Amino acid sequence: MRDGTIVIAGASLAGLRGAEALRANGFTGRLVVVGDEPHPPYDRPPLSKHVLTGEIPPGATTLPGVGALRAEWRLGTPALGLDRDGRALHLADGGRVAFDRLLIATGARARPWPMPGEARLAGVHTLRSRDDATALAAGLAARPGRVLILGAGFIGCEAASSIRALGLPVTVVDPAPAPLAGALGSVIGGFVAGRMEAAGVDVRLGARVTHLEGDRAVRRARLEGGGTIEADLVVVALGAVRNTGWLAGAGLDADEGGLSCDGACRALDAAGRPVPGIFAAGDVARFPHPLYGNRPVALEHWGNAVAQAAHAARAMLDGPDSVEPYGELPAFWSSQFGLNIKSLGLTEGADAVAIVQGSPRTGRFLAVYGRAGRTVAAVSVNAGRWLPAYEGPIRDGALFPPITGGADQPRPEPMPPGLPAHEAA
Amino acid sequence: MLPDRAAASPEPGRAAAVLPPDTGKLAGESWMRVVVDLNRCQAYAQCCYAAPERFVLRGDEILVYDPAPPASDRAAVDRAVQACPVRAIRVEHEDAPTERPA
Amino acid sequence: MTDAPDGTLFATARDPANRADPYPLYARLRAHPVARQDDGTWVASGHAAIRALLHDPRVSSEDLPPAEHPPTGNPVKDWIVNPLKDWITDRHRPFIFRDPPDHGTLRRQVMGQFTIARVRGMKRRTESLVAECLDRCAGRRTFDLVDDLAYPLPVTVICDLLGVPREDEPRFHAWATQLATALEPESRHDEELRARNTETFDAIAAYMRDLIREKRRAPADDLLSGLATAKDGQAGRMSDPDLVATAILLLIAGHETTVNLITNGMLTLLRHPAEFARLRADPERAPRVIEELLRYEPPVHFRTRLTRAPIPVAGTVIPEGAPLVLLFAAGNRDPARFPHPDRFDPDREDNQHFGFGGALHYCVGAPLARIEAEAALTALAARLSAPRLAEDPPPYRPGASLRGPKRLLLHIDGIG
Repeated sequence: MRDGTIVIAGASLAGLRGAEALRANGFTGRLVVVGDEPHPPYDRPPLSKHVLTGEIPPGATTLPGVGALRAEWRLGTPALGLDRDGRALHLADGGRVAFDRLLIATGARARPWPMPGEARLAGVHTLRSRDDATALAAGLAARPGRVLILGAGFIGCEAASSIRALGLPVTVVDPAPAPLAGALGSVIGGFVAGRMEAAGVDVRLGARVTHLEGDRAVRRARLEGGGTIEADLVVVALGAVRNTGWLAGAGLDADEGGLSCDGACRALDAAGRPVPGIFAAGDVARFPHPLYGNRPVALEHWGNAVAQAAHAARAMLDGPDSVEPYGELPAFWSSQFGLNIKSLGLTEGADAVAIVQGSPRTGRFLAVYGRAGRTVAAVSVNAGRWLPAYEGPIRDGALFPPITGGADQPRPEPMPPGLPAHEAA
Repeated sequence: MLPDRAAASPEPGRAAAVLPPDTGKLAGESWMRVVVDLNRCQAYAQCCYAAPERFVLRGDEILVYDPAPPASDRAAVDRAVQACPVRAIRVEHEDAPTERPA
Repeated sequence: MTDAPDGTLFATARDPANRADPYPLYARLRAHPVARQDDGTWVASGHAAIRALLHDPRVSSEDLPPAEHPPTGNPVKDWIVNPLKDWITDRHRPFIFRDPPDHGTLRRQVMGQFTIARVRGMKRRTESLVAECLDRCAGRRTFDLVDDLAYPLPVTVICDLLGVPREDEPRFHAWATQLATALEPESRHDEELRARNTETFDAIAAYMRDLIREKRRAPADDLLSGLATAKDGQAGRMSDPDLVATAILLLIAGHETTVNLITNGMLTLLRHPAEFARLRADPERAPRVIEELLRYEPPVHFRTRLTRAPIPVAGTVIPEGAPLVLLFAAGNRDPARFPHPDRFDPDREDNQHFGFGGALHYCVGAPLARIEAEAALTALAARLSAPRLAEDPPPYRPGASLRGPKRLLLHIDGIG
């Protein structure tokens, strides 16, 4: 099955790496890449960092591999619908693209501010796409008097770090007890909060913004329980929703949390059966993770986009039975406030965390997460070279805590990690 | 385009970017495209020695790099690719008609 | 794979008779990626196992036996002076023999001086040193790569970088050679060797103390002056015994290893004439060639460690307190990691070798070694006319860890 037409929906990192993997594995047929944005695939991680500080222009983030890929590009033409039986995509420009096989890599978009009228106020930004970053960087270049960031997840915190680096006053508001609490828990998040405050960020935890106010441009945010925060630039950093709306009516198991697929990356129909010829990869794909009891997860991770797209490509060419169930060890990184945070595994559902190497006092440490006595994740802070030792224990679900008695290892004192009780992955 | 080897971060007042505004065209440009897999990166800093104008380590281990270096830096960037102990750097040259299969 | 491990393989691989080609023995060792040897040493030879162990905090680098002066008959020396010296030496080992958190502190202090500007500043100097070495040999028909280039080049470069007078080389050459034996497993239980190393350390430490005093009195733009006068905020300043140990380490590591990289490199290229011709035609290939050399013929074949706790790895458990060998040169040829591992192929892409070790102890001098190897190999390719190996294999120096030819005689038609 190395000829025919393969359409890739989503000119994203996953779309590009999937397309490359198809070519690298000998696909000689027609390859069509459909993208809703006018840009060829670009790299997102710099958008919340050096693009905001002005050190990297947004246009410089185009990914390597774009130039060499032998593909037809249909950029700036969103897919509006999937004709599953007719095996074709309907595009916004009225076009119809037929396929023999389809890879869905439409990713996710920023969750908008829930009040559309308020979201339209000038100075209210989201941060997900290259165009978002361009607009936000332009807004920052106008030196707003105060920047308000709604949400202390990774994007909110990275944006706060970048905007502080520009010397602008920044307030971050989040209902959680600590920044990054959803992913890392409030123990490690509390350490990050200290760094944020030391960098001059006004961190308002356990607080919720109910309304954004202003005439044409945003002027202030109203807090739950009273009080306001003056701000003339607002970054809405409330997470992402998966781009599955265009699949409505196609009979696939898809919602805002992702498009369900199996271990061979085959999309599942509403009854949970794999659909022949339709595959998914990247942020949009919700798959059963074999390392975590086949719990369905959809990972917004750079590394997952790369690895899962390559996995899907192999399954598309050699058949779904030719690949092992996809089970890449989840991994991500974030840099903010001088900290390099790296993570392996999934912290979701962890009931304990222990600092097992280094110490927060020195600013370099490694924390391990356990669930029911087994190791499920590890997070390093400015200690990335310690992290690879934990790949094996996480993969194997080793007893928690997994590595003790080594150099610079305090006696582990496991404690509750402060993760939200029921957080979607 | 990247500032001097800064020891501390974050710090205000960075140098302005000098890259062209859009490297998103598919052909006819004279930049390389670079991406680093920062999951793999362990801050060995070998790229910073090989191509210090394009790769900078901030703080202990935050790697900052130029994703679109000029083609004239090709030798230095290739050295960085080769010197990376975890092979985390990927580069595409304008005149590369096809990528080597992985 | 199901056979019991042969507990003598590592000893056989270190036998001088096998120095020229230990790789078939390494391949047999790899049948058990982590295996106990009859003398109680554990050897890790598989790529995945070495990588895991390199990053594991239970694997300690503090495996040097205590310093111990031999008795002199003088009670003041034997009971007071020398035990005190040994006490200080043991607490201020060079940072390759240290663990976190001390290792990190010392290493950061060194990296603060091993700056990009300083290292890159050596590039042009290195190239002109190579040219001088080759110019000196003009008109010759035989050429000993070791004596004529591969030894004098790195020793001069590291002297320049550190600020050690090059004319003192005859003094520290023998010391350096002696102390390099600390990387060999024998040094862990050979009493006589330990005593000799203790005395040698005394001598080179006295030399370094004088030099550091001089740097403090009249600081120059060199690395030792920088270390001796640094006012590092967070890490504080290096203590004098640490400074001495660090200076000794950098001096020795700065040349005992690079000589092997250059010599093994030329030997390998002459055994693969097509690759040598490609390098000559295209010097831009040098970085690829050098990375592949670091995999295929690494300057340091293994490093020793000690386990602080039991470690499950590769289907076995290394017990606490076990001497451990990370056999980098075997991991570099692991067919589970590298396709056609015994093929010298500078075009291989996924070349994650252990040529400079890895993890916390990744070679500090790697960028300098690359600059030196590139300058030497490209100049040799460009200027030597019709080089042929006069003897293959060449005679090797005694070290099994720091493995490299004692001399590499080449017949040449001339030097351009």
